[in-house]
Amino acid sequence: MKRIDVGDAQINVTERGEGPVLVLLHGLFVGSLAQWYFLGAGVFAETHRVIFVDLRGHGRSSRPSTGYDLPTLAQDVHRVLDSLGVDGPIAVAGHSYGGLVGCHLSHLRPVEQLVLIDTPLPGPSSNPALASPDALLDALPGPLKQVLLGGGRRARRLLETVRALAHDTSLLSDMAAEPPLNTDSMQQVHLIYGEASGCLDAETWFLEELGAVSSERLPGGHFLLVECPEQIVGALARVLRLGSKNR
Amino acid sequence: MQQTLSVVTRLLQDVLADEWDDSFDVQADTSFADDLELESIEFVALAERLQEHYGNDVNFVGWISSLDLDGILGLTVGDLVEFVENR
Repeated sequence: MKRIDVGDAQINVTERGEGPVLVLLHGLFVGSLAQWYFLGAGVFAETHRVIFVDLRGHGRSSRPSTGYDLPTLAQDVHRVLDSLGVDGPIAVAGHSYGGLVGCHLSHLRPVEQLVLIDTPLPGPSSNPALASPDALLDALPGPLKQVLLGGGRRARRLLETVRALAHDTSLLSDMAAEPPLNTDSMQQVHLIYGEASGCLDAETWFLEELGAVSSERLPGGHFLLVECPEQIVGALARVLRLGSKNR
Repeated sequence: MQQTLSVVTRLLQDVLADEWDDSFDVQADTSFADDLELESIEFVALAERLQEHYGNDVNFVGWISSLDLDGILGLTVGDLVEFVENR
């Protein structure tokens, strides 16, 4: 793990493996590269150069008070990839808001495969679980909820992160002010949504806007990386294999 | 066993830095989640340091990736030591 200076933030990043680049992006508030690391570091690193990023404010990245709009979040990842010498086309998989960061990243550099995992539409969300940090915490899947309810250091740190992001940064107002997505540069998009997800309006929108390459539903809600890890790995592996055939 | 335990303890100290308490008594039955209360990102940091220390000899990350979240949360230092020593 190392931190890369992107100007007004230090972005924590780690990577494993060699081959075509796969960038894995987490969701907001409770996300960090750890969620992807336990899923992706083993399997995908056998065939890909897997790059795990902590978005600003999250994980071990710094937490500036501004810059949580999607163009800046994408710019952070873009600068990190520049710093790591990544200049060819990349595959990106993003969970929840991380998927939107991936969409914006495609405005900055070629994204050959873009996998959106339970990704909401930008702007005020129609998903009640994403309506507020409290709602998000309430909607956490079993194992993560247990951490919260157990009290202790991990719960304290999780709550502190959520509190700090909600109250000490522009994150919430940046999220609310997001304009609709410009899909011009988005190609080869793959959708993975939970059957019980509150973001299915987004799935519909993406299907209509893009005529997405593929779309599948998994037996879970919003936090698919935790709820359906094996299926996520399987789905992502299929997408990457499809991608390599087309190369 | 003792040597591996010392390595793991030292690396934990690195990861927890300012929050390391010298009174932590790291033993085989010390659990990462319950006793040490490591956040998952700190566990990643520990996994990387272990991988760095032991080199390609031990596929930590591969092993950890094969565990599900419950498995990771239940991991003890002893599980780690056993994995290293049985490589």
